[in-house]
Amino acid sequence: MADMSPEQVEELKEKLKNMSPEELREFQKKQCIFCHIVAGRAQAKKVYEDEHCIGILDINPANPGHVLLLPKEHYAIMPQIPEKEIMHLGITAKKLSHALLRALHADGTNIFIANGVVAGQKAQHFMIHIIPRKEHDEVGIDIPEKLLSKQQLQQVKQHILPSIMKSLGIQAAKREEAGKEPVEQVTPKEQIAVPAPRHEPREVVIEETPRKAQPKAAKKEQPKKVQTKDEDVTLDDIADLLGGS
Amino acid sequence: MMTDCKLCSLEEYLKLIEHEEITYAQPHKPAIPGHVLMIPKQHMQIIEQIPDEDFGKMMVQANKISMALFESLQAQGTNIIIQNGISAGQKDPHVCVHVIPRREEDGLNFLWVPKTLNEEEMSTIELRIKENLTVQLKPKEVEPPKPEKVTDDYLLKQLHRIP
Repeated sequence: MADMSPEQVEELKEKLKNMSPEELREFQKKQCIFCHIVAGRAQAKKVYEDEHCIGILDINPANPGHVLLLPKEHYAIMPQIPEKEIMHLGITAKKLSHALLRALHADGTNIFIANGVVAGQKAQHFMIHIIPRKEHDEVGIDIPEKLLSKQQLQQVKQHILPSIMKSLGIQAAKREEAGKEPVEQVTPKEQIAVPAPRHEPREVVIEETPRKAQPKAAKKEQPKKVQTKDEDVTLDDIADLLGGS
Repeated sequence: MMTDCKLCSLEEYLKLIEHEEITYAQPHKPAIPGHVLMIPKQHMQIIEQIPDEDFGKMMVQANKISMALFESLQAQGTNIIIQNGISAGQKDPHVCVHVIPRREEDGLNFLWVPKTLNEEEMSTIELRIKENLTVQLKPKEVEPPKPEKVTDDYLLKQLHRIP
C-alpha cells in the first residue's frame, strides 16, 4: 500500500467514495493491522488467545508488560460490540490483570479504554489496555479533579440521568410493566470519530461517519479557550457541555 | 459496608441511581462535568476480589453509561478507566470504574509516554505472562474462596499502602 503510484492513489480514493458503509467496513478490516495480527498474517507477542479474543504485548508500552486485549472481530468502538462479547472481554481483562500482578510483581494495574480519537484512541480496532503499574512509574493516567458546586452537579445530573436510566434499561422495565413497548436502545456510534486507517487517504473517515453525525450545536458551543487542569470549572463550562439541549 | 470508606458512605459523591449491585454517582470533584463513577455496593478493594461474572457485567454496564454520555452530552469520545491499586492511581480502597465523556480540547489527557524495550526484554515478559496464565487458567477442582474471605490474600499484600 505504501508504494502506490499517484494514479493508484487516485483510483483508490475514487473507489472509496463509491463504497457503501458495509463495503467500507470490509475494506477497513482488510487494512487493519490488528485484524492481520488476529489472522496470524502479522507478527505480535501473543500472551493470550481464545475463541473470541487475543492478548498481545503493546510494542509501545506505557510500562513493560502492557497488554492489549483485542476482540477477534473488527469493531472500531465499544458501543458496536455485542453485550456477550463485552462480558467475555471484561472477564479476560480481569484474568490478564491478575496475571500481570503475579507474573511481573506489579503493585497495581490500570484497565483503560478509549472510545474515539478525542479519548486517545489510536488504532481503528477496539482494544482494552491492561497496564501493570509500580510505585512512582510516572505513567500519566492520573484523573484530575475539579471541584464543582452542588448546583452544578445537580444540573449535570438532570441532564445525564434520563439517558443513563434508559441505557441501563430501567425505564424500559417500567414501561413493559405498563404494557408498552420497551424503549429502543440508542447506539450513538455515528457520532464518534474513529482513527483513520494507517495508509489510507483521510477521506475515508469523512465517508465513514455520515454527515449528520456531528450535531451542529455541539460544534458551535465548542469552548474557545483550552482549559488547563488548574482552572476551576465555571458555569459557562457546564453550559458548553450541556450545549446540545 | 465499611463506615470509614468514602465510596461506601458516598461522602463526596452525588448519587445518580442504584441499579442491581452497583451505585452510579458523580464525584464532587470530577475530571470533567459528566464524569460518572460506578461503585459496587459491596466493599471490595481490588478487581481481583470481584467474581468474574460480576466484573464482566460491570464492563457491560460501563459501556451502557458510556453510551448514555455520548447521547446526553454529545460527547465525541469516552474513556473507561479502572485504577486497580494505589500505584495505579486508586484513591479509595474500594473498586470503582470511571466513565469520562470526552470532547476536543477538553484539557484532559490520559496518554502515556511509551517506553522502549528491546526484543529480549519483550520476550522475557511474554514468557512470564504466558506461564502465569497457563497456571491460572488450569481448571480448579476446589471452588475459589468467596470475596469477603480473601482479606489476607497475596494480592492485597501486593497492594499495600492503600489508605
